[in-house]
Amino acid sequence: MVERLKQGEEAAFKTIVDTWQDMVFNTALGIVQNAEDAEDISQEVFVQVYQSVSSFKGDSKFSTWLYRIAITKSLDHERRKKRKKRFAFVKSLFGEESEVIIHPPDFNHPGVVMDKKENAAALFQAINTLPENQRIAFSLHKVEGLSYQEVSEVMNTTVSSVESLMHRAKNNLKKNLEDYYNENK
Amino acid sequence: MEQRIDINKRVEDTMNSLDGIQRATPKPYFYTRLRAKMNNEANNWSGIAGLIRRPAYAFTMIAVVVSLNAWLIFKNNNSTTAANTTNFQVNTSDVPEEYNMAVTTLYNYETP
Repeated sequence: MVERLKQGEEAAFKTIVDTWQDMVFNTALGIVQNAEDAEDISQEVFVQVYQSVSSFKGDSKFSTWLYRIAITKSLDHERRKKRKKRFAFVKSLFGEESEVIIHPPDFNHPGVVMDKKENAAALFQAINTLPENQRIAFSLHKVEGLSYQEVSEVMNTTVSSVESLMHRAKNNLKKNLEDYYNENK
Repeated sequence: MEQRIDINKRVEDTMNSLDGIQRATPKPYFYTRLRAKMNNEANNWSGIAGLIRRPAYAFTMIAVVVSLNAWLIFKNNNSTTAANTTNFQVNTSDVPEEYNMAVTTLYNYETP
């Protein structure tokens, strides 16, 4: 399929999008925690795939390559959003009118089982406070359901590093949630 | 003590809340929206290219470049005449130092 896309076959591109759109969307959603942003990012990912498929040499799996693009785009998107927020804040200090910053409500992942939705929202909030690497590892493993081996391939690291990242992520999350529940008894 | 156990349980439940999670899917017709976005982007670029290729735009740009050149030549001629009349002497050995021209190639910057 990738070879056919390299030759510019339109049908191959459609098949690739149809096959991988859920995976790309779910990965982006796990990181940015907003469905509209995840949709934009997914589109950007496939535009990039279309434009740079010739640079895919096949050293890694196609899915690994896609995950990497999706993660990079998601993180770029977050950074852009944070920059915008900071800029709007600075503008507001000088009394200039700026775009109203809307703080999104608790994120509800549509794939979470109904009776766990409330807990999952608290967990996603806590995930947001994790350092980038821990957040990516945790999200790929828990939200996307990748094994440690697969996560290590996507993050271009060793399995033991992923184990360590996951261990630290879980500890940080537990601590964060404990504080949260102590404050909201 | 009971409160502590309760919080620990809530934390544990929350940590396990993503068990059995299903993949989220984008809204239907994702491919159609994607193609529309790609076509839009392509149209934007072809719009800019079309503008640049217009004869009116090309002639205007040529006129601007020619006028700028003419103005610069005219200005330089005037300042050269002024320098000659005041008999201003420039020590050529100071020029590279003053204008940081000692490094002549990019290679010099890159090698320690």
